[in-house]
Amino acid sequence: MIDGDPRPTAPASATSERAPILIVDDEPYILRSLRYLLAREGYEVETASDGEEGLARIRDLRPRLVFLDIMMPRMSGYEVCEQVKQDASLAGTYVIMLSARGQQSDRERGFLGGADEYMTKPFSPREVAARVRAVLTSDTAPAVHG
Amino acid sequence: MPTMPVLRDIFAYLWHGPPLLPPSLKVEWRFVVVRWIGIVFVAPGLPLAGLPMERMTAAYTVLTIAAIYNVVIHRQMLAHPGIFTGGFVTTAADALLSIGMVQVGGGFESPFYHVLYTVTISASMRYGYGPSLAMAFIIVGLDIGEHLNGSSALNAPFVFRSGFLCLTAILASYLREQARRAESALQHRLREADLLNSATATLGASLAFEPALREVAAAASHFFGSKSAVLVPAPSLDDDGLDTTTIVSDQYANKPMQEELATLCGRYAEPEVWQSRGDQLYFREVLRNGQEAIVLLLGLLPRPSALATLALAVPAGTRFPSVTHDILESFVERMTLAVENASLYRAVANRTDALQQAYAELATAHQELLRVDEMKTGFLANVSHDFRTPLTSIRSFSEMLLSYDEEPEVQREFLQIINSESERLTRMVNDVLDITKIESGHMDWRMGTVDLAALIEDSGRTYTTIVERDGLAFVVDVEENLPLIHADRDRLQQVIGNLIDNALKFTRKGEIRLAAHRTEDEIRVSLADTGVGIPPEYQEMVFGKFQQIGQVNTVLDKPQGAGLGLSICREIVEYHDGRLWVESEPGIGSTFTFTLPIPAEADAARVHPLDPVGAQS
Repeated sequence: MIDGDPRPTAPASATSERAPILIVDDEPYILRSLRYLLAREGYEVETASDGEEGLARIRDLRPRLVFLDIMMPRMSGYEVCEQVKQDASLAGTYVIMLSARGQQSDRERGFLGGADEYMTKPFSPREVAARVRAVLTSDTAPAVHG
Repeated sequence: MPTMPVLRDIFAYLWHGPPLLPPSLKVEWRFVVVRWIGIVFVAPGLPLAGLPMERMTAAYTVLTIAAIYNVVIHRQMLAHPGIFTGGFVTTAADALLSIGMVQVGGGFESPFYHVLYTVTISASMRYGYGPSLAMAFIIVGLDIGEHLNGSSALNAPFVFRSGFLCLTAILASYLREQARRAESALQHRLREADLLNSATATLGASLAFEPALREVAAAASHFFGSKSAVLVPAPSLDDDGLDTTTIVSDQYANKPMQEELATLCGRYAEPEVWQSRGDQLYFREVLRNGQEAIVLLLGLLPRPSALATLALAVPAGTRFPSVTHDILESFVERMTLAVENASLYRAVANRTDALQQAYAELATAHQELLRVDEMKTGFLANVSHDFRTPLTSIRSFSEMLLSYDEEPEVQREFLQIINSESERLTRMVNDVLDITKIESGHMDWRMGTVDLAALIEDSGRTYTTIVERDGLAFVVDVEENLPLIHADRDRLQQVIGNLIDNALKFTRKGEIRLAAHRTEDEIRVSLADTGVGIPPEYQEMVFGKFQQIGQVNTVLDKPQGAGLGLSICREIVEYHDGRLWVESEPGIGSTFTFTLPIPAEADAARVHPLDPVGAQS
């Protein structure tokens, strides 16, 4: 199960300099685990604990990558994602929906809102780390419509 | 042959008479025809009798008079039919003419005597035995008188012709009587059939039960010429509990008689009467007022008892039955069928109603099942969602612990998170199991005597630290000398714990107050918080079993846990015959209150005084 290097090499410094990663979730332990994990992988991580705060921080920080929970107080992850994707100034923001709702209809709704990826809880930290690495090391920004 | 229709027409005319002839004069008409035939035959035959000239002349004179007489009768019969009704005029005239003819032709010894047979025969045909024999005796008397005048002895020809005359009178009268009887029997049958038809004409016009029974009673009173008829349906027919007595024709008076008739019906409704009645169609009884009652049993043979009993009052001494047995039988049969049909129609109608109702219930039950099924599906989806949250933490932190070497403090922190999230998951699983057990009735209740004050105090001690850790004040306020109750201690503890957990989830500042006091016959325990509150339209929903998770998520943002705590609380309280409700104002706070009934003997059974309980914070 554990076959990776416990201290993986830091990703290309160029990516981490470009923009921070933002995690939006109302569960403190989820925030805590992702923050630890990504910091450990060498990324700069910011957090927000509800939808409204998340959207405000996205506009403020203009992160390269956003992890979005769906069921959150005040504003749902779907709404945040739609707003982000409709905002031209935020083009290039890579959105990963991270939800305990794993049904096909939930995933479809996420993609309809413009999400780039949909991951289901419980997730594997190493898989998340791998996805982050893949997204941030790609030279060209993924095609984003919005 | 062209002559045949002409001959038939002639015979028909001779037999039936002219078209305008009243039916009552048919016989008179035939006598007219017979007279013509007699005149036509006698006139050419007279010379053959070898009479002297003066007698011959007299005989033709009488014949001429007879012919004129017949013409007059023929004409007057059409002009004044009333005169000839009964045939008295013509009979007397016929007799006079005939006797005259005999006298003119040579007396009773002469062949003219044969003319006299027509006199007795016609009297027989008109009036029967009496008048025709009287006529015969008059003729015999005249015959004897002639003999005595002539001083001659009564000879054999006299005896022969007189005896033959009487014999024709008797035979003709006999034939007439037979014909009359047959005709009157036929008339009687026709009248009966008419009565049967007119009485039963309205039967079956109504499909509704009671009107149909009224028709039967009306038909019976018409049929028997009774003013008062009472019909009582058998109890087996009367499953609607409607008024069992149907009364007709006599609404205005004589309640006592109606009651008497109804009582008679009741007596004859006994199954033994029905089974032992044999061929008897009706029974006769004498009423208190002297009138007679006819009691009829309506029913079909294979039945164990009559369908209905019918009693009619008729004047005393009424000749009964006025109809023949088979007509009466047919009438009873028709009434029975009407009652039977009415009851069948009603049974069908009732069954249709019942079926429709059952169908509607089934449809409702089906809808309910679908709804419950949908709820269960939603419940499972929500439970699975809520389970994933602590599971995510457990998986993440344990995997990270395994992946990265970390300082012992960090490792310890992660292990603590894993531990507390495992506990949270365990609580959720227990909640789901609890609600499933309670719902399926498999909960294992351990009922016993419970000192609620001590229990609340206990809970207060347990939760003070937890509540205060969240920065809230915790107040416990229990009235002194609360009575002992009969309850499951652990489950009540669970209720209080769940309510406190719930309050903690939604309260950021202020206090949580746990209080208990006694009212007339129950103890009220309340838990008040200063949290976010619940909008009125959602206050009942928070106790829901299946849908509450989604709803609460939108209303109260996002609660933790499987969201089943409150519905478990309600189930437990209701098992104890208590109630659980919430009063809340958004932004101010919520108060959950539950009651527990005080057993009647609780005060007497109180074994130890309660420790003084003060407010804790």
